[in-house]
Amino acid sequence: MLEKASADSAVLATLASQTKLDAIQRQGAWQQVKTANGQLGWVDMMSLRFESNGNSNSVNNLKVLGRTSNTGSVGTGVNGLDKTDLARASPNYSEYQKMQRGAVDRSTAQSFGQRSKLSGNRMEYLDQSRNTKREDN
Amino acid sequence: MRNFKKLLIASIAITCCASAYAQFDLLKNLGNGLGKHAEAAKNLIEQTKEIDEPQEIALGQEFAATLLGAKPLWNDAGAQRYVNNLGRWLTLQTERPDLPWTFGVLDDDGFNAFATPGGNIFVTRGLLARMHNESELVGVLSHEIAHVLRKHYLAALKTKGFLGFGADLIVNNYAKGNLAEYKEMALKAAKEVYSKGLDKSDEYEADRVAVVIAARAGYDPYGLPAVLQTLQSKSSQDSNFSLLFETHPSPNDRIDSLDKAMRSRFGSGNWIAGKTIEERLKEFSR
Repeated sequence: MLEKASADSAVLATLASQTKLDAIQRQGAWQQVKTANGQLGWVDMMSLRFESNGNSNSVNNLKVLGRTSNTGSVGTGVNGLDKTDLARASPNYSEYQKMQRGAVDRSTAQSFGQRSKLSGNRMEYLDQSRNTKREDN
Repeated sequence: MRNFKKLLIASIAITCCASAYAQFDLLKNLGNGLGKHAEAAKNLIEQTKEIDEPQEIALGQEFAATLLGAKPLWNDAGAQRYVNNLGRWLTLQTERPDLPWTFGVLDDDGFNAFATPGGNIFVTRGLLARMHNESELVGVLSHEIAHVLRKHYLAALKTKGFLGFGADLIVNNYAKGNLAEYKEMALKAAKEVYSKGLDKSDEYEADRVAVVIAARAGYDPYGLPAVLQTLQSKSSQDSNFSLLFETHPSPNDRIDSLDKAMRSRFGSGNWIAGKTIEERLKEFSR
């Protein structure tokens, strides 16, 4: 566990695998956590696995596997789109036309990027065998 | 012999372009060996199985209309405008920037996202509501965009034994103008593929492509892993998440796989987490 969200920051503590932590906030690859004795620090977010007890702020450190399938809420809430909805569906072309009317062109998207202060980065795909060039914009 | 005949008939049925006819002639002139014929016919079928871009886009329309038949669009013009602006910006970072990319928010409390061949992308209203910031939504949209880029839905249709008919039969009906049959088959195919999901390895691939699209677009690439961590805390028994859990590898496995792929590749970059979805919806409602 480090003092700051940076690899060259000071080490505050060494946490054992499966240490329970509370997740506070995330900054890129770094997650701020709080230990059981109240100490705050930053860890690699990819080393964390969240617990499935419904308390989404509680996490386990370092690859705790296995999700307890708890009782859930079948029948208590509104159902999300499921297989039954799909089985019953007949194509809705007028809704599709409505959706198509909402499509935006390249220049609109580019001005969205500029307005949002997004600067493109050059990066190859991770699969070396299937590298493809990125379109400059 | 019967098998050979079947293959030949199949290859006649799908020869609709000049080059395929030429290959067919070539096939007839090949050596007398039956094995050779069968082999060549088989190769021909493999080659002509490619679905071209106009066919891919047409099929995507049927798939999109099917999803919209299950759940309509969320009646919020600002939200629809927002996902189209953001989504289109992401597609500009890819090798297929000129597909007719269109984005939609489905009026659904559940947590899910879908793509169709040819570039229609959907997220549910319930997913939008559970995103902590824009980089998470970027992770989800990029994952769906990746399915389109790598033609994962078409691959699912080409899977051996898919519904008893293959992708070529659907496309043949389209080429021959048998629209009623075409639409009926496309509807069945869409229902099947959205209920069963894609090949698991294609899901992992879409995750790996997605983090790169996010980074190219200027967003924190760890948005997608963060979404997967949110999913870890959810139960597959929760009906708002059940279809997603049934059709995808477990969030744990996806994070493990991304962890390996991303390790030391995203050390420093010029990324932002983005605004909250709430702020964006306010901005786009004006």
